[in-house]
Amino acid sequence: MKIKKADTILILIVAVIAFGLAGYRYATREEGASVVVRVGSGEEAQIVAELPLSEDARQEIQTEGDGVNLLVIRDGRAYITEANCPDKICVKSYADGICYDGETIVCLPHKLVVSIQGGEEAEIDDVVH
Amino acid sequence: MIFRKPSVFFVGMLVLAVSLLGGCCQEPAAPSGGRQEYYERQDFALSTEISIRVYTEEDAACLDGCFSLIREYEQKLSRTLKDSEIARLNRRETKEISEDTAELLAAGLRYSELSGGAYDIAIATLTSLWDFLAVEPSVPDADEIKEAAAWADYTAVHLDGTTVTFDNDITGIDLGSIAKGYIADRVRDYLKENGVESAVISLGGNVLLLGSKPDGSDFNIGIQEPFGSRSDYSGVVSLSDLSLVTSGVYERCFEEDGRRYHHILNPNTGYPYENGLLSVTIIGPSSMDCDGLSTACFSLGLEKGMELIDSIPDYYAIFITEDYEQHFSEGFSERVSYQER
Repeated sequence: MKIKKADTILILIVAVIAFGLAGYRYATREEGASVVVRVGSGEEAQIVAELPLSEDARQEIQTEGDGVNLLVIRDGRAYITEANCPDKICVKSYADGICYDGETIVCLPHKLVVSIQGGEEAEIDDVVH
Repeated sequence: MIFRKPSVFFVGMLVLAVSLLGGCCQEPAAPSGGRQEYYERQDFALSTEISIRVYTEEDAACLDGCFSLIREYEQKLSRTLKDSEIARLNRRETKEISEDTAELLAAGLRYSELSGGAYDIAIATLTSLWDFLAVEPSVPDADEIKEAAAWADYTAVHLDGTTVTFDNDITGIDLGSIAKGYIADRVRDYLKENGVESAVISLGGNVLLLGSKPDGSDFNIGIQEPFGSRSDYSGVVSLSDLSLVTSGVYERCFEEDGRRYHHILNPNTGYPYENGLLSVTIIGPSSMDCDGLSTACFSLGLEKGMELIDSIPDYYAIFITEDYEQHFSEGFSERVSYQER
């Protein structure tokens, strides 16, 4: 069977459409939610960890001085389960963990913020406290 | 043509189909109605956590300016920063303050008077004694508390334009109970000047809403249940273009010998208020007024606090008593969209 010029053109057109579509779908895919850990304030703030919310994990976060907070990701929620800060608000006030896009756990004495980026949108925009 | 051969045609269609469907398998279920994009910055200032959220990339360019503004105000208004206007005033190194500081001090004096001194802006002798942010906070010596309370007296402070004089050398001003609200209002003004129409500003839990959400719907703000977690709500308010501030016993507190000490101090006794209240949340157009009113109304207790808020048009309150009952100010249910939980 002979491949004619028209055949080649048709093959190329199909290939371009196929790869173009695949590329578009890849580029616009929705990311799964991430747990982002930031330490420090102002210009010294740094992202020290970024983990997928979908995978169970345990990670110790070192903060300034001897500060340590234990980040736990379990069943699609992120928690701080232990910390050596004076008030342990990061453990107690967020005992139910976080899972919605934009939710945060803050450890003020350690200047630590754990936040969820992406994933399901929360029903509540913020909390007054 | 080659495509007349059935197998080739089939393979071609398969390639096309896979490229179309392949994307589908990788995507998690998208939320219905489309995601609301936002741009948020968080940082630490004013001894607390700050976050500002806007909804367009263009608006996000203002965020730097917002945080610069916050730090500028902190330099002026802080009681603890050595060279702030307030610190220098309290050390009697100067009598002059800037217009912003004067505006804020005037509001503090006004609320002190409105509350009959139950709330006192000249409380620095007490707030410098109690250190709720210490690594190991403890109850100060009883005699020291008594002495400090004696000097907590807003009537000893005289503001004339931008000049401040005191009747003595010891009474000091602490704007901590009202500064965050003031600063939030200024950040809102800055955002508006820059054309921002939708924003959520949170200064340590004081929430200011600029406009509505981009789709025109109200923001949903949870009121944290006293001693609950951040996701336990006493209720949810749906609103736009308003501020919310809560004064409560469950934040900035510590326990000693089985007793709990919180940070809302009685300027007459020098000890935290024990008046049956767990929290007071104020909703209204100015964040500064919400801030001042939340502490003033808390200080007055349920009955007198409710009288005060009822006398102020356009401001509404929820008082939560120790039995977790919620008490609402006049007009609340007509004017505020609230879902108790």
